[in-house]
Amino acid sequence: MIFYSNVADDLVQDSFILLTTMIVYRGKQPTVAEYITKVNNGTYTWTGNYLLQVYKDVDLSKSKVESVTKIEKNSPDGTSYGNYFCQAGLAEWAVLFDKTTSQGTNKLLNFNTSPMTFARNISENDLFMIVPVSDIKGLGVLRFDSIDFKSGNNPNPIKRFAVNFS
Amino acid sequence: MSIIEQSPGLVISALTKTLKKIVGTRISRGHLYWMKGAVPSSLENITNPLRYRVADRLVHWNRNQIIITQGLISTTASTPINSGVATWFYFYRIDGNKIYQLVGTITSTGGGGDLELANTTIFKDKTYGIQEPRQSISINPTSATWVVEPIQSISITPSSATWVVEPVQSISINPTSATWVVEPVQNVEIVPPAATWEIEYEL
Repeated sequence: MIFYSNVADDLVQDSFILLTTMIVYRGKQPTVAEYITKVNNGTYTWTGNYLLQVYKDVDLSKSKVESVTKIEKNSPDGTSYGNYFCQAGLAEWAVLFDKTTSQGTNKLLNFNTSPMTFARNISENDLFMIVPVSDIKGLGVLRFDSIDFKSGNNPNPIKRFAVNFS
Repeated sequence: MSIIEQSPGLVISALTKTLKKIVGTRISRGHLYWMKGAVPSSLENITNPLRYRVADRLVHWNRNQIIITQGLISTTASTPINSGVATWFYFYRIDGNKIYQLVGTITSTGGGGDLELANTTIFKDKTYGIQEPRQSISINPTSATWVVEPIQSISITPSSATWVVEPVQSISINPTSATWVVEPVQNVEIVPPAATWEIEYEL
């Protein structure tokens, strides 16, 4: 299949730039199917033992370097994106949700109840992406100064986020 | 190392948006063709889709005959332009100075084409349409390459300026004007200070 030359740019602009809610977890990175199962049984929810922190409305931007289009966090320094710290632990992976999943009558993520809940069962039809996490020197899609998450008002600012498409 | 995984819903949503962009709205000049002959290996030489390989067109659907739902494409029925063996399909839409295009292979069922038909031989006296799509196209950003960029950069603000050169030190004379009085450094002293000079005349 051959797409038109600008397809990666349009994919990012129309879809992937909307992945603005990020939930950071500890433990081994799961598959999509495992994630769905463990959200629905409570393991990967706020009351489970794996969810560390939630970031809402992360400011993402699109850029292009030669033939590679990317989405990345816009601001150069970390910001808290809300005080959604859950528990301490070593961050290993994260799930990025399309911002439309917190809108409408069939929304998945609910920020109206404290602090964040899954409003209904998640399914493979929901729009999300699972990515690795690392410290700033590592190769994670989502990077922090340290993956050792600790409690506090603003303990774990995102230092870098980038996904490239070509 | 861990990899990026997408939910099927995210892939389908992204694919649907992209397909809609290729085909456009119901009033767009979007077109789908089943074609015969060699499958193009590149889109770069297709500069005028309206006239591209016209003789190889077998079946044609206008945009208002194409339906895109959940990453799947279906069409209404259409009468072929020509008879022949379909080997590839071609989408295109012209939007201002942009050309959106998509090329994929056509094979018989089980042949592994991007579009599989029960019979790839097209007859001019029949009608054809895609009514029960069973395959979707997957786009996988996990194959994306990383671009190494400097984490830090140095910026100069403002980026341009006019420099004014000023002396660091100066010599000042105070007062700025004066009347100089020249005085002899040494005096000629006459001793005795007073005397009577006698003047003699020679005649």
